[in-house]
Amino acid sequence: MFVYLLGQTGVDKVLLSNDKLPVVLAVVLIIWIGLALYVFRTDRRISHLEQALKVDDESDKS
Amino acid sequence: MKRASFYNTTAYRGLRLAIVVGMAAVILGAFSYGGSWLSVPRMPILEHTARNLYFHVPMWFTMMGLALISAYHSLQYLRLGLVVRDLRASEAAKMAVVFGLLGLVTGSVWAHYTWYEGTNIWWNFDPKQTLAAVQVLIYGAYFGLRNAMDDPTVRARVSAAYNLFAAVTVPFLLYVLPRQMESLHPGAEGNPAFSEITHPVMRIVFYPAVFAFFLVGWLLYTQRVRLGLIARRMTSHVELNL
Repeated sequence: MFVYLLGQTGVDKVLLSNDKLPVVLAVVLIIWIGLALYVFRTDRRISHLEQALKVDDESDKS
Repeated sequence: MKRASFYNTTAYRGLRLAIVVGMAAVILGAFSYGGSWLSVPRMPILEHTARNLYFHVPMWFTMMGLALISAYHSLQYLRLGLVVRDLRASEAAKMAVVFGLLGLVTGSVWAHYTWYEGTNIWWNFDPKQTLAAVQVLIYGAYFGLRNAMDDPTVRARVSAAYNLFAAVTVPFLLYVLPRQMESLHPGAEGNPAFSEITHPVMRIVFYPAVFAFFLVGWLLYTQRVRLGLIARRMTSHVELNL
């Protein structure tokens, strides 16, 4: 037990404190970040389309 | 003036509101402890991490829901050959992979700080974990297959056929096979869903959580489909101009 406690890193100590409630927080954050990354990807695709549209508009003017 | 749109705007607004309100309620419920009525009884090893049930399990339910949607559209593509079906199938599969990956990572973190506490184990080849990873790889191969083909019609047809195969493997890899083996996951003893140690009060938060994540998956998937339709319309427009 003693050796095990010595082996714990700072992150482990935080996650295992308060009866492991931070583990739930970690899981929620992983999901949140994962979905947010996907939203950003979609957003980037919208930007690409917007840029393509701008090119289109300019070619329409000439 | 009526706005030209691919979708029902009012329904979409309602959907987004339902996600925001529902998800907030789920998170509040999940983190209520102490004397509150949703408080989960404490168990050794698990402690407060039992609450991960509200987040880790809906990942897989949403993944399966999206896989089913994807398979449905692949089937429709094979029947009628409409391009929008191919788009829907591939975007739903993409979202299914995202939720599958999140399910794998959250499960790994959960197990690391509970059953494998004090060890350096993040991945222990638990049957359900391993087969779920295989499942995600099967869907990953779907995109490998798509990228390997240049002709859009051939790509759509071949990948639709493959997608049906992928969907058929879902119940076996995620339910039938893992339950034949000793696992950390419930169900191995012939129990259909919840294990006996899962307190009934958890269902009050769990079912809304599943519903809320379904809605999130649906929203992200339909957004991509809308985007794909616009992109298609634009590129065909450009081609016509040329």
